[in-house]
Amino acid sequence: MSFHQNKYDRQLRLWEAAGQSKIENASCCLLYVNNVGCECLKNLILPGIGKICILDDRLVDKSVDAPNFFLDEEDHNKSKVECLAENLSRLNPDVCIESKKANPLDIISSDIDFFHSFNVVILADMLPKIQLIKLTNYLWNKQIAFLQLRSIGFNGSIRVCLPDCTILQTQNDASLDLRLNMPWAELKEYSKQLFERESKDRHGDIPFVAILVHGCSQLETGNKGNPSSQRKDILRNWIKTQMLYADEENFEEALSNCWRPFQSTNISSALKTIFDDINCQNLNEQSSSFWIIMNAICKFVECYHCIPVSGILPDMKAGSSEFVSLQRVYQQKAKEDALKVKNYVQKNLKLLSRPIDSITDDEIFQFCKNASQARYIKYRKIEEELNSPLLTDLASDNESLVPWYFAFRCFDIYKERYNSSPDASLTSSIHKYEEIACEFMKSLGQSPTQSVCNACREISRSAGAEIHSVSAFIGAIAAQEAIKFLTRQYIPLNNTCLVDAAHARTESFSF
Amino acid sequence: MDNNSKDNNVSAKTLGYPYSVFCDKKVLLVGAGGIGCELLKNLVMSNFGEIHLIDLDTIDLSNLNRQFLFRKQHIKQPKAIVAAKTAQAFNEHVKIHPYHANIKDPEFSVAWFRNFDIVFNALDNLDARRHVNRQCLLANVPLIESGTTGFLGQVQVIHNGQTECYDCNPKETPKQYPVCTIRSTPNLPIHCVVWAKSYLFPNLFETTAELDTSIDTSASDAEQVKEIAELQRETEELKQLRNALTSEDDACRRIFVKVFCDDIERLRSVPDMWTHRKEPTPLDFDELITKIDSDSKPWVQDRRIWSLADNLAVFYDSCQRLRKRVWDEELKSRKDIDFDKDDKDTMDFVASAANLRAHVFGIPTLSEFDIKQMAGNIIPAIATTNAVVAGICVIQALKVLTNGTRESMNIYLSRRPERVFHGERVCPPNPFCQTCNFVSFQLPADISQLTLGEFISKVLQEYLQYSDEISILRNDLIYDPDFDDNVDKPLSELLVDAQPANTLTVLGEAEGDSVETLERVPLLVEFVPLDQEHDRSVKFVLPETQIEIPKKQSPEKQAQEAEEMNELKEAVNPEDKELIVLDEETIIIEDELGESLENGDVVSASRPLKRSVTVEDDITELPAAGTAVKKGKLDNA
Repeated sequence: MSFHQNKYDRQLRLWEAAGQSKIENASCCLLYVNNVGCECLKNLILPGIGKICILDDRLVDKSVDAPNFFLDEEDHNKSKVECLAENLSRLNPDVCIESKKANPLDIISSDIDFFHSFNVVILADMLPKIQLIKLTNYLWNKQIAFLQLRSIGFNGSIRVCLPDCTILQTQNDASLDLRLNMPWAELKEYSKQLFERESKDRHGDIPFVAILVHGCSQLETGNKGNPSSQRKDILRNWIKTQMLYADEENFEEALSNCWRPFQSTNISSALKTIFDDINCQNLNEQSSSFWIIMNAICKFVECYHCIPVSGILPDMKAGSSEFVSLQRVYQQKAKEDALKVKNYVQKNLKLLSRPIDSITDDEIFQFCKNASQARYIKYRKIEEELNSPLLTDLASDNESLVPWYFAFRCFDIYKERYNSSPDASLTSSIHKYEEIACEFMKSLGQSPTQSVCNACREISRSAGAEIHSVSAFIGAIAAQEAIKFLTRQYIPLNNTCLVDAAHARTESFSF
Repeated sequence: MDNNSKDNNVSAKTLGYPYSVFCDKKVLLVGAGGIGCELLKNLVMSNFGEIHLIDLDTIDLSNLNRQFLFRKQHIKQPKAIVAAKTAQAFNEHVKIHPYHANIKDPEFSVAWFRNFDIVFNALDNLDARRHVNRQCLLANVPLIESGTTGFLGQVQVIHNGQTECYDCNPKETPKQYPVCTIRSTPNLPIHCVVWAKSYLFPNLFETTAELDTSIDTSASDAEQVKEIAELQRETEELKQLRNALTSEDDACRRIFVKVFCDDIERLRSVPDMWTHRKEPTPLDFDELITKIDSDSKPWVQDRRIWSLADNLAVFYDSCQRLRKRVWDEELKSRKDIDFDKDDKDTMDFVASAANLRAHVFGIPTLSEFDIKQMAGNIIPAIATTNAVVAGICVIQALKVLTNGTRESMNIYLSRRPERVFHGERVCPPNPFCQTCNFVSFQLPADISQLTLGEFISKVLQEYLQYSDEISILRNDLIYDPDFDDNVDKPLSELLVDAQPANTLTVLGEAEGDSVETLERVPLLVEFVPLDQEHDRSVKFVLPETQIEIPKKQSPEKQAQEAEEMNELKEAVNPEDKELIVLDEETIIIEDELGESLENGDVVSASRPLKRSVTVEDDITELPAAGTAVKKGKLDNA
């Protein structure tokens, strides 16, 4: 076990070597140095991101940078990026940290290609609308992930953006499919054999899977036409009659899994979304292996009316030899299914005139194993959101955190217009902020509600300043989202998370 | 207060509010690990006046991916000391007092806990968590309890009498395995891992290892008696092999032959044991050794599942490596080696031994990486979750210190992107909780003069209206109606060694003749010195306000619960009574946090359905920066 592996052991157990290597090969750019941005970077540096570039041309100002752990009082009037790079580099010598003394606005207007080499760009502050649209459209076209963080007083938000995101390993165990609604011949035979053993002594070793499969085939005749709820009750009663004594653990497990054989389909809505997507339907020269394999799995589903068996079994009460042989039955089926999928993949590759081995067996097997968890997420462009945020009926919901969203949008307008943050200690400032809120709400066809005004007041209370713990919290959530994008594991946010730390609440929206 | 804030320009303008709340507060942070480092940073940056930090651990390489106050050069140094030093550099005005010590040490008494305005728990084990919980209840200090595992985490606010305490909801205790399953009839990989780690390894490499002789010799039938005798003999033989480790060159071979061949043969010969089980197959050392490629080093590949020959190679090699370490050349004596998941030699030995045993019993073998997780009870840990939880801790502390505990929330992090976390209003204490159901009061008294008898008659019976049925406990019983030997002794004599210090526990009933139960919750009386101004004839001073001692809640219910517990215990197969504790120090927090349900919501483990999950927005508005509420403090800032 290497030094490197030991150092990252605790996170390797979450996202494994594959995820780790993606993180280590990634580079990230931070626009503007502030507390929330630094906290986010800290949480990317610790897990070992490859490279970080910090972009800002300001000097450390102790009146603003006081809540920042990584800037010192002695750094006053020195370059922010240089001080920060030095302090952050101590966190993890594996990470390459660069600083660029430049105004992000200048880079966006005259050197936008500067951003082309990054995997993630993090904006820790607001940008004027024109520059924000220019930057995010550029990143969108280059398929670079974009995160915008906000931490004002007790409130904040995180907006993530990427044209789209395909994830195979969502690490969502709940969706494990055992295909008990469509058991295959070998599984039925295996289950039957366990029940036909002479000795009743190993009754407690029969896995629940076999109990359900055998129960269903016993009850199959004469029950076919009945509605599934009725059949489920019949199965439940059958299981109870098979128990040698009350609370026999494996039979209890069978009872609690009774719903499985009557699942009408094992194809999740998330998977249907993938199959129905144009990328899956129409393969072309640009198609990634994700879509080529998903197209193949879609064809498999059309043909066999179920998704490939994953080959994974959850823990269950069973004798070890019974469990091992059941595992074998599932692994064998998984292999067979993967081979069928492979056939479709190869046909696809031929049609696309790509080498038949350009997608490995291993990759196909991974897709078959994780198909039920796969996700495809499409994001909304920042430009579209700025012009017409998707509000549905949430805007009128007094309980929701949406008023904070409006207050943040107005905060940006205020800052762009007056070059300062709304400040509650100045009456004129609050008036100007509220005027903007009225204007803005009208432009969206909404009337400014009391809750929006309250949110604006609360935000102006902090005059744009950060509270360390709130920034630490928001920065950490944002870093976690960046890691999801980089590892392509776990389900990322789509697309905005609003934070109200004072009331310990968060909510997510697709604006 | 000038020198107390990191920068006054900031605090005066905007952040004055939280800064002023915290700057005169004294906090205790228990634990300088994953959450601890993040919390220390947040506390320093939030301008707490004085931070006491305690941790007994030293820094390990595997900490560095998240415990950001530590660097590579700090490995093996005490966590508390290094964390304090690193964090101090960022805010010289905050007073940080580190302790490289165990929070359970007697010097950290209840009186010591009373020094703090709030306590933060950032611990990794059940035992210490429960200890701090108890101390905080006794000291009546609010506690912010937190924990994470992987992407999940939680923050709980605990305050005596106002909220649930840590023990109000029963916790999963470390998994235990019946001794017979571990030693004779394993059927899961974990059984082999426990055997290798908790039985084989300590018996070979720890001289002080408590050989597990506490085997249930009251076995019901002759078979069991015989089997137990066999097991004891096997353990005795291991003891002899331990000596061979330092003296004989073929010790590794002899160990292998004993545990994977001779013991297995003996096990196979136990009558009836294998009628309903698959018989184990002994391994042949001499045959297997020929299959080993002498150049191969399977132990460098910890994620691959080793072949049988690989396992032997690893077993043999790690055993040789450990043999070299067993003998201390300087002291000319043998020394102990403790199992440590991060000690490659011990990990190789345990992983290969577990796999060899799995081979014997036809159980699937695992990679060393996976065995390490089981043997070390490794909980996945990442920087982000710890940072999120630590952020919430401080925000909750802010609320507790301004609005009081009742308005706080308990927070549960979920993995779902739709909801990063959810909050629940804190619940009132569980009336049946054994830990937090008590009343405590401090009695100023001259304990060198006040006798136990006077205390009983004047304070307990006359003032607090107890009946004659009183029992008084120190750690042991010192008084009940049938045991009055101590009544004439002064309390100073009886309070020596009392735990908590200077405190007696009173169990008894209220005066009265109702048919209902009159039994009261335990009363903890802490004797404190009298003020100087009292003249010497005064022996004690009663509190000005009357103390209410509630009756115990529904004893029928408790009795019923106890009965159910007993039934459960009886239902356990007698042969399963002896249990091996996998690891007392570490617990699997995931169990405690609750697990992902089908709909993805994370719920708390035990009494989740009884409480309404509220995410209502009705917490008292936090006062604005510089508003009148804390004006006095702000002006000083």
